[in-house]
Amino acid sequence: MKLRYYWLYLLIFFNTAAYAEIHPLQVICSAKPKTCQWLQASFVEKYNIPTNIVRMSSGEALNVIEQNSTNTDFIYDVWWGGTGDTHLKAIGNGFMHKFSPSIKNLLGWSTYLSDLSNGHSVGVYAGILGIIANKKVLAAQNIDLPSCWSDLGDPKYRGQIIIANPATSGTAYTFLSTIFQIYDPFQRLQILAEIKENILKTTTSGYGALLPVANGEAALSVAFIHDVQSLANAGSPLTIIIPCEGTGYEIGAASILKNTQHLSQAQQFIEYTLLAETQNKLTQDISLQIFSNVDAVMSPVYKNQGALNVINYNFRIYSSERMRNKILDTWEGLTK
Amino acid sequence: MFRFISHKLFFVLFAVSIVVLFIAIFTISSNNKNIEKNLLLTQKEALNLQIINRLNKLSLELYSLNKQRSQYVFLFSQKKISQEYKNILEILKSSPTDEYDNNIIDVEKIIHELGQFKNTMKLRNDYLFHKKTLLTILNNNMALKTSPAEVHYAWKILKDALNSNNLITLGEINRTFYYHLSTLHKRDTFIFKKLFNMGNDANGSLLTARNIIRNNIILEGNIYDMQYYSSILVDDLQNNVEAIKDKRSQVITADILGNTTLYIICFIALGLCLLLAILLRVLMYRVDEAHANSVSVLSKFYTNNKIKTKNNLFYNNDNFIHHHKFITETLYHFLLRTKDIAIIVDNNNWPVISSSTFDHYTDLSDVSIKSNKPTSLNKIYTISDQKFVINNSKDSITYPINFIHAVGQQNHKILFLSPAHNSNDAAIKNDRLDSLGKISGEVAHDINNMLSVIIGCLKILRESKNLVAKEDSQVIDRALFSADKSISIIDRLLTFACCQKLSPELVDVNDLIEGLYEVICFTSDNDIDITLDLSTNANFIYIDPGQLEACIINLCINSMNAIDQQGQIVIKTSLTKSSMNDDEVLKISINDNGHGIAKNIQHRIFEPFFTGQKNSHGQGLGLSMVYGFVKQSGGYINVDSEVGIGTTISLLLKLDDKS
Repeated sequence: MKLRYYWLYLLIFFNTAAYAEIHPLQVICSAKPKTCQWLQASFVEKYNIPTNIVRMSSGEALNVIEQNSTNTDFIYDVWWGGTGDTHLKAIGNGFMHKFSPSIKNLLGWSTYLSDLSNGHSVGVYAGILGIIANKKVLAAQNIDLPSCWSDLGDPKYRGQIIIANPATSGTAYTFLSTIFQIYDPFQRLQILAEIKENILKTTTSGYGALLPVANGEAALSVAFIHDVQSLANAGSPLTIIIPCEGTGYEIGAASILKNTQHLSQAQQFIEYTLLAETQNKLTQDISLQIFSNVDAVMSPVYKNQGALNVINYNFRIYSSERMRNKILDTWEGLTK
Repeated sequence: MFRFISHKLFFVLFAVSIVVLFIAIFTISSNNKNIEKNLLLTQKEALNLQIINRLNKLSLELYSLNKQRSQYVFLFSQKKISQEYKNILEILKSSPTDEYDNNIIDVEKIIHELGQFKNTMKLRNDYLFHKKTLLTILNNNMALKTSPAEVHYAWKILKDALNSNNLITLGEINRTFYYHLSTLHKRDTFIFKKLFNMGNDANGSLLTARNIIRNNIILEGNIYDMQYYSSILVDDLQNNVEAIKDKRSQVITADILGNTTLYIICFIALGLCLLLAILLRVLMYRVDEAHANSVSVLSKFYTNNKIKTKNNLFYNNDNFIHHHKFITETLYHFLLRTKDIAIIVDNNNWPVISSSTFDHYTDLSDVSIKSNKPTSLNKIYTISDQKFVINNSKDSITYPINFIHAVGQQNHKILFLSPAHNSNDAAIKNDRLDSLGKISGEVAHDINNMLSVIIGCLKILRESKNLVAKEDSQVIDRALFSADKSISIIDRLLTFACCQKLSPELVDVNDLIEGLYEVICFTSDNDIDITLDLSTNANFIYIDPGQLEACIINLCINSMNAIDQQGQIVIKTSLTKSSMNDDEVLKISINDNGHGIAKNIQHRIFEPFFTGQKNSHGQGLGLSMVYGFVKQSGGYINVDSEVGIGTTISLLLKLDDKS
């Protein structure tokens, strides 16, 4: 009797395959382009699920998701990478789908993000913020390297800083919230005003601010250390400084969009990036971050930095809409 | 002095009463509606400013709230802050208008957030307590048990995990630990068994550290929320004040125009009042000065201390008979207050009159009553360098001089002295230990510095990329293990030398001992019965809890070593009187029925590296450490031991004044 419905099963199978062919899994990737490309290729190779990955900075991705919150034709399924606070803000506005990864041996900061998001997101990687300096440019002008965040406001660095726009870049927002967490209300206003005075230009993404500094257009920027390692290894005169006051860090998150049409594939994609073997490949050769699986190897970038001077970053407060608006308004309100 | 103050008070009261009178006349006479309105606005403005002030103070107190490590101190601060917010809420609610309705909601949010904060704080304190216990277990395992270097390294990773203060560092330590574990599993079944037993502690340590960090984040979040609501409240009230000021300035302009004459009269009256007060003050100063010059020092003492009493504490002779009242009444009361010793000496420094406390030290009473010159000429009295020194054939007694004053007409002096230092007192018995402490402290400090360099170099070598062979890593691990052991010995030596940096806090000793019970049982054999006999009341002392725990554990381990097969250890706390100054002190005693300490070595037990056991595994630093710590904490130790019966070691520690 069941045989009678075979034609129906076949029809459903081919229809699904055809749907997948026309509508592949759509992933917004807020990591480095190289990481995004590798993830797409390796995931398709392993699971044979058609996947399309689009690269956007964290802030851009958040804006796109917010603007399309009521758009039923919005095609994206997964948001992978980008700073955790932007994910938490999107989750706070109800744009994400709840899910629970089957992989359990994750480090404390990864599950902490899951708890904070009430099971709507998971921490995949972490990166530590640092000051990036072009030694050659500074040496040519006979200027010392900065050693603290507050040094960036020194008038001798006038026109020497390139930084991303904190409204569109998670890196720049993490930088501002780090200053907010280290200094009291009066000091931080003064320091940020002085730093803004020294800025030459702003870019859309944090990674985008690094290239002009590597090319010698300016001397200083702020970036996640793992992003710089590849540029530093290529023989450029870039150097990394861990600020004396302590530094902030990002937790790169992964979340599923609420209106996804590919829930199981989206979950499969995120779980693939949580596997120790995937993370080993990423941490050793491609993106070099600290990854969340306890069995993954230590990142070569952070292994050699010794004990990093990291602050106890408060994602709960600094991802809230209220705080984000306050920080962005403060930065906007500072005159240059 | 009293008279002087009373004059001053009189003039101030006089001036104030005149001013108040004028203000009253002014208020009654001004039935102007503008003034009434002005007063109402002033009242409102003052109320707003008062609340702003209180909120700003509270905001500062909130900053320090989650820094409170001691739960008792925290609860006290939290209660105070909470009560203050409730008071503000009452004030806002008592307003007849609905203008404060939004502000009331903000204050209620703050009070709610304070409740959340309290709960999280309690949770964090539980974890902190758990952390302390785990650290004690880890330290014990690292210091007292012989384990392979690989296992020791794993303990050390766990110790680092417990001390990490952010999730990223903790995550990397966690990863290192499991990596280390995975490399060992494959190689050695003995080590594997050891590490398998470690499993519970490892999970406990990693989870505890994670929960402490996460609770810290939540607490900071609570603080931020409270400050946020508080700042909204302050902004609102500030806007209110600005609006009131605007209204008031309009009212005052009208007011000033209508009452200028009244103001002028008021100011003239106030000016006259002040002038009169100044004139009277100058006159009285002259009277006092003349009076002061006319009386002797002794009569001044007497007239200013009119206290009637009888006593026999002073000896006098004929020369001082006319000062009898001064000596028996005034000076007696003065000495009761200052607890000094008083002695009147003649121009050759011979004591003429002395307080009985002085005689107690010098046997002078039988000398000074009878004549001006002491009969026992073997004593020589000298004053030099703010000290009064009595030399006799055997030894010397030195009294530090607090105050000297000339008295009478015959070049007599009255000396107020602090209790004497005898060169042969009990301090001399501690000389040996003090010298040892000083030497070992200096040596330990230097070795500590050098060891730090060695450990630093070894760590760099271990993390080096060039290090490929696992055997090389093991060699470095062994070297690090030995260096860590040496650091632990040096740490104990530094404690003995009172050079350790202590972090004292308010501690309930009974609570602390109850928390340690599990650890002590863990380190002891099954045949030893450990009993707690703790006082019923909580005993608070201000002390470094970590070091006190280490002391108690060390004393218990010594007791365990003294018991051959079966035995009993009793840990007891009680309040007792100090033998030194009659103050109430807390006594923590550890009693065992072991083999006891022989009389001939009892005076050496606190010396570093001295051990009474023939086949000892320890370094002989446990008791030295206890001695140094207790001494540094302002306490002292009693040892009571008899061979074949047992030993009781008691730590006597000062109680906290507030408790």
